[in-house]
Amino acid sequence: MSAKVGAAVIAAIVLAAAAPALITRVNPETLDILSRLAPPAAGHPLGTDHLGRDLLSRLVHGARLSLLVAVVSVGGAVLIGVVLGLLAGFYGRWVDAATMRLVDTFLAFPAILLALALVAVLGAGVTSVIIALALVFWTQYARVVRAVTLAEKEKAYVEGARAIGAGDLRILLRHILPNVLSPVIILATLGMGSAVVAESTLSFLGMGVQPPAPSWGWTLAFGTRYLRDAPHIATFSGLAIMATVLGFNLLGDGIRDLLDPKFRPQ
Amino acid sequence: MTRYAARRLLLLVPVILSAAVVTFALLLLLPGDPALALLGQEASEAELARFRHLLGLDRPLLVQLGLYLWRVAHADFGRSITLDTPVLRLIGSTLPATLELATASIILAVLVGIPLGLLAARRRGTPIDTGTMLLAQLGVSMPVFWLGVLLILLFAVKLDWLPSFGRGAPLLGALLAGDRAAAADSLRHLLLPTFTLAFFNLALLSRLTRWALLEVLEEDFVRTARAKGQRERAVLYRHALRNALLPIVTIVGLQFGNALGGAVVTETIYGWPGMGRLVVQAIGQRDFPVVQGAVLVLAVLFSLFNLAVDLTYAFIDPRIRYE
Repeated sequence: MSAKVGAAVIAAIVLAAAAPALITRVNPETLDILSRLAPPAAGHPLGTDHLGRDLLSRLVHGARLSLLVAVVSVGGAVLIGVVLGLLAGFYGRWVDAATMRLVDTFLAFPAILLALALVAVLGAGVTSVIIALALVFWTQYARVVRAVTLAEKEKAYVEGARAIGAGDLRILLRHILPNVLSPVIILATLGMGSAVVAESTLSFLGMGVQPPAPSWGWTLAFGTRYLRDAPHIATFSGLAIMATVLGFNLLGDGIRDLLDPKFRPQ
Repeated sequence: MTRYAARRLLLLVPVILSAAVVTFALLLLLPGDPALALLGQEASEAELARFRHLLGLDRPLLVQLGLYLWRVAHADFGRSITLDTPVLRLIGSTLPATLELATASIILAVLVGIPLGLLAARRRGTPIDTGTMLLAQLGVSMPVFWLGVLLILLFAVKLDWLPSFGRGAPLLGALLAGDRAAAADSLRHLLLPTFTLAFFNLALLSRLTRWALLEVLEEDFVRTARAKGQRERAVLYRHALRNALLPIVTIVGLQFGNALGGAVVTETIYGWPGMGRLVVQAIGQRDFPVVQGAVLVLAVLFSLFNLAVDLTYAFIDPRIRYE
């Protein structure tokens, strides 16, 4: 049930990101200084921001930015984590030792702090945020993939593949990789929610995606300056972030229930 | 146990060393000339040269790294560029505030999260269970900064009950001195940031407690206890909860470390004068010695807490020590 709710929420947000015109035709950059900080009304269903821009339009167009950052950064983290995890688990010895020490080093930093420091040196912007988040999140995939690979490489099917002459690359990609995919899919779905929060947190702290891009975090950060006069800005932009994260969390839990028999309802 | 602890402590050395290398490398990631990036375009060539010499940027890379590690090993993190104060002094003056906030948030998360999870597990399948888990799902999905903003909006702006900015006198100091007025003021300042920082952990703990308890309730020894005719309350508290506590202890410890990182956001929202806010301000002012020093100290503390968790776990569950 909750997985269906999650899937529906994410489908709606993906739709908004792919075709914002379906929801609103107002340009998110159009300034209307005369009606700045206006509360929700007929012309502006969610009100306007401090420059009189339509909040609904900014949030709908912001969905594209949030999803883009989440998909690419989680994709990068998965790529790094899966490749290093497979190599560490399969080859063992110094490859494993080196990879795990690298994981330990990255895990020595609280995640948001490392992301913040990386964006600070790389310079604020979409690319920096994506690189920083990928570098922060890859460790969890590497650890899980390494653990599964360690168990899988001892199994008879790997021995069988080797007996018929399969090389390391073929064994890794055709035989072991499919078996590590289900935990990676579960982690990545849950990780999308974390990436959305992390991106908006960085923007909120002034270090993420830069204005005038309609980032949810920035909209919320500006909204906090007008809490007394226009609480709708902070409220609605926060709701957009929370709904997305909730959607990914419910979907991730649902996929886990589906793929992992331990969690399947009796 | 002593041998295990010593081995774990030794394993920490390379981790801290490599964390120091990462903080050193942060400066190298700055695009272009770090001196130009830090001082800005308007800096003269003489100023740039003086600055490069000050940071040791005019020496070979390996020498720079060696010098950096040597200084860090002697707790010398350099001087703040904007405040012209030793970084260590800035860290020393802000760390107690962060520890106070992190400790308060963990206490709140444990005191509320574990009983909530217990309640949900006892009333499995009832509206109480559904409601509690819904609240927990919201808690893990809600961005910390948004929760902070909503709490300020309600309790500081609308109701005007609690302050939304700054810290009172150090709570522990006020309590030890028996100064009730100061302690009350500290608590009023502490309430909103504590709840903001605790909410995620509280939600996670209640989910985990429920899950761990339900898992343990399926075990044979619980069935035996019930078969012996023990009361449900005794089965739950004396047998099930005690065993379910193992994963919970681990998570509580890890959460303390995470609270140090989470403090970056909470401290910025509430103007809490801790290390998190120090880092954010230093990044804004491109004061990199402060960023490097504070990030490294937080990483060391984070690693030490994780080590403490491992040791506690090994103490509770002897199987871990012999692996």
